[in-house]
Amino acid sequence: MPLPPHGPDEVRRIAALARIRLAPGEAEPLARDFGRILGYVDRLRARDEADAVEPLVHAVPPAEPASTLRPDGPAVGPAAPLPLAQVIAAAPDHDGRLLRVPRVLEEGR
Amino acid sequence: MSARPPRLVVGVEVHVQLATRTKAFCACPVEFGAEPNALCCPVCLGHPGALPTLNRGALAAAVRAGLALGCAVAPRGAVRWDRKNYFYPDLPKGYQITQYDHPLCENGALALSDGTRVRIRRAHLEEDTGKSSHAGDGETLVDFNRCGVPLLEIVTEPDLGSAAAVEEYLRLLRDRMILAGASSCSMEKGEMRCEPNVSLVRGDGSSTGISELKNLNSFAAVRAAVAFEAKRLEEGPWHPAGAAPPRTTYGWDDAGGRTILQRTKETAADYRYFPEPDLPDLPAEALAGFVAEGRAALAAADADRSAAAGRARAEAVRLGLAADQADLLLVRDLTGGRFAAALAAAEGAGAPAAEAGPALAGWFLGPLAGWVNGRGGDWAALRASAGDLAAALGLQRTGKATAQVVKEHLLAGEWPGTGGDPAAFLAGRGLLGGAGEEAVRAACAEVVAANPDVVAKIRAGKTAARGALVGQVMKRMRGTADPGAVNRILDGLL
Amino acid sequence: MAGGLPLHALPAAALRDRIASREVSAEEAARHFLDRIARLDGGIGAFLRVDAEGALRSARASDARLDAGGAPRPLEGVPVAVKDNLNVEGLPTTCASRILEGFVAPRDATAVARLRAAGAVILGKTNLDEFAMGSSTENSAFGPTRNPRDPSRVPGGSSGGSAAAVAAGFAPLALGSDTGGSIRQPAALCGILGLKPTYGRVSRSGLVAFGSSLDQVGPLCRTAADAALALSVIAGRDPMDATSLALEAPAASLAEGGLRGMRVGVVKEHLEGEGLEPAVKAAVEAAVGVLRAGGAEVREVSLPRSGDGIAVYYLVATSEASSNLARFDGVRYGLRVEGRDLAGMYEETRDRGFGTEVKRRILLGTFALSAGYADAYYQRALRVRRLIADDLDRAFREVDVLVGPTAPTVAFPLGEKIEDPLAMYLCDVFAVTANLAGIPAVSVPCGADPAGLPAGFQVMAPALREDAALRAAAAVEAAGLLPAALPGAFA
Repeated sequence: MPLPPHGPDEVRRIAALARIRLAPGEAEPLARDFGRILGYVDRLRARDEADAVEPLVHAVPPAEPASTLRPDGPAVGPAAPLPLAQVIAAAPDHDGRLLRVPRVLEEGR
Repeated sequence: MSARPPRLVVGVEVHVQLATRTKAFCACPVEFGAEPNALCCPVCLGHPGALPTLNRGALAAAVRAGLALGCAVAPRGAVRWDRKNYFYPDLPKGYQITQYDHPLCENGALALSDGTRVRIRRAHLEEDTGKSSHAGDGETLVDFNRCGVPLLEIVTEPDLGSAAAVEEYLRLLRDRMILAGASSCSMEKGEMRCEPNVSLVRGDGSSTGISELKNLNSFAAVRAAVAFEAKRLEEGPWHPAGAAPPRTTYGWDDAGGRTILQRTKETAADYRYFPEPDLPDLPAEALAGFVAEGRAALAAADADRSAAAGRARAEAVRLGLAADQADLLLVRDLTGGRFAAALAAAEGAGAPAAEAGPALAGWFLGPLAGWVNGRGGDWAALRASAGDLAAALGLQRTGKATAQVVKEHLLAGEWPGTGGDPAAFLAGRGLLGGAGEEAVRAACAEVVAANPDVVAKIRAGKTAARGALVGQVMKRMRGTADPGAVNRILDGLL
Repeated sequence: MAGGLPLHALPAAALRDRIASREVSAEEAARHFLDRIARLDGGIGAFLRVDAEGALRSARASDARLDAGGAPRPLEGVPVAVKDNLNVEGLPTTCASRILEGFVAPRDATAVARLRAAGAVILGKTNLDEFAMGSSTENSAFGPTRNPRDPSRVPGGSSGGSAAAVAAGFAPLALGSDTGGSIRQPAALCGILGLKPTYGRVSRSGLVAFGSSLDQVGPLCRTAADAALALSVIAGRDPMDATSLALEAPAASLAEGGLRGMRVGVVKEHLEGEGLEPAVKAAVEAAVGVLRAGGAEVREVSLPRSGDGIAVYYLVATSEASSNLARFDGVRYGLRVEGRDLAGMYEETRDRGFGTEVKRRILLGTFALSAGYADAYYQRALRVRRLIADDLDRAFREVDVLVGPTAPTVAFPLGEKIEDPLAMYLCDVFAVTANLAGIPAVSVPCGADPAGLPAGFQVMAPALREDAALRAAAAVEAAGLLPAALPGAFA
């Protein structure tokens, strides 16, 4: 299963997806790093026996998963809501009680 | 040209807000209309170090909802949480916790009255976003109170074939959610958001693109938007059978009665779904208790509803209501108890049941239903109390206001939204007390004088033309005249 | 000074006992460490923030409690340093990144809250590689930390500030986090002990996430007994973390019990791996000798796929990180740099806020999860992760612990690997196995190279068997293989 090369254009596409700005000339060295790192991790493709097993995300799952659920009750202690003033004070910009950001132009989710 | 018209194909995606006290993944309270950003904690604000914990109540409500739709719960053996990654100011973590390939509920169905089986592909639990409002001068303001509120996303197969069927499905869905105690589904509060996907398919398999309709705030809007879009799509363009038709998002302009292009999805967004490491999978065994409790709760609700239906049938006989009236008002209770309350108040004020029942039923299913539908379809908007309505009925029964005045000036205007003494309301507008004999006589004389040609026709034997004179008199009197008196006086003049 | 050793040379448990017995007040102890930090940390850079006022306040509260006849708590008056990716209420959490500029933690991390409840005195926040991404503590937006053993060399990372603080005698105990060796590798390079507990043993609530399925909070300290004591305080189910396990915290005596009947597996691939320095190998073999002499049954064990660990780790950790770091967007807290519009604000903020290595990993993780590549990279890595965990399960049917080097080299000079990400990643080649499988692992000093630079001995145990790992580590520690000597100022 050959994969496409990971050139500067690909790096730029990924950077846009991650909302990371790349300065002019920054994509090329990153593409080189990518090439080396992905060349190294390509060893995993030789592990044919991996096809037979399920992906592992939760290495140590809880013995009783239902016990991790939270009661639908009022917040107490560290789970309580923050004071509004604290929310507003932490924000880089706000208008009254609302947080302010530059206009969201037509760009969907 | 083939004479067969293209077939309308609609699937619907609905988000209902689950009825819980706290948010899906943190303990912040869920409240409509609270002060902005007052219901937020480090978890729902996406603070560094904050972790989600699943609300047991949200899970229980989602399971009940799934069962009420005939779904299988955790058919893949386990339920999993996934992250859907995208950037948006009202999405604090930069991802939404949702369910991708191991949803909570799958493979349900609801049957419409004509027997159509609407298959429900899946229903999964996810968190809501915050609310962005776009201020005029190049900025967006964000309130995170709604962020993290539990939603159930319910997706049908494309089994709906008309705008009316879409509306019926949605009403049925809402009814099931309310029965299950899963959601109150108030569209006005945004607790039920509907997005139909509309396309046309021809006999040869060719199809139009798929229009995803958004911003539909009432059942009436859903119906109108689907009908409009079905008509608009007839112009094509058509895509051959087997090609993946393009998807385009349209908003609904309620005032203009038309859909508005929002955007074309040239490439599918890359959401980079992956399993949420912060929440353990829930194996089917862990959900068994929720399923058992959910089934018991649904059975109890069904039994309650059957008992209520029996009581409603007896009540319908006592009141002399038509079967469909009794079904809407007493069995399905679409007014949320308001009809029964008004009836009780009217009976308490001395109105006989056989008179008050049909009259109030006519009001609730006629002018008041129209008034409510014009305001998003939520009966909570009706502020006229049971006592106010009983008083209005009293005015009509005692002849202080004519049926026409009550219908046109009291139940269709601003009064339902404010309530208050109906006598005072009508008196303030000169509509109370019926018109005096002299005023009616004067109006009749004016109408006769102003229409010599009509009068001539009547005198020549065309008595049917007299209706036109009666109508003119009523109009002149703004409905306050008693039709019997008008006829009597006109007889004398002619 | 009473009892021979100066306060800063005492293990945490011994210091706590002196405070509990009123030989020394908690305030005196706090002042002693604060004074050392003020005098000596200029040349090390272990701390990003020292909270002298808060430390003295809580030390005085300990003294008042004891004055009033209150029972001393498990860490009464013990000064603790906290890695700056753990929230401490009222202090900035920086993660050594500019993007969190101005952010003050509104609440304590659970591990920090439990330390406080046990009487510990929080001294301040320690340096790290930005967002714990690195193995040298050179990737800090606020400058590198230096190794107290040789300030021209790195302390390892990413918990380099915490490791250097303990090694330099700035605190007897520190908290770190370990996603792929970030507690154990700096502990090895600084000549101290570090424990990564079982995944889920310690709550991650309040730990700024890097690789959420790998991250664990743990102690850095001088002795296995201190690690057991710290674990007994910070471990246990936390309703704020759904992945925390519903278990009682283990007893503080966890490291006791010796080696009797213990079956020890020496990981063949870890001792034969390329890049293993001969001095490190010799030190590890000496430690194996200590275990054998102490009565353990030693054999060689193969983990055939351990060579895939780094590849799996860098795909899983960066994928999760690309999502975890999306929240740093300039909207609700931290840095914002205005741009031409919303997209411009996002990009300017994240460009100025994140350092090179963080950007590199976000991009790598975004790529590994993106449409068309996720199966070949992210999903593939998770499948090999399962194979690696299965290998460990099999090995632990034969032995009680698995041992080998913590890191392939001793501390390297600042700047040596900073331009070569892959070489830096390979520092953790032996360490990542434990994170991928979620099992506990300890690094304990086992000797030094001819220049006196320490080598670390790694002991891995099955999930929830911190006791076995700590007992083996205690035996190695008791053999005194690492010369205690530090450069004059730190003695």
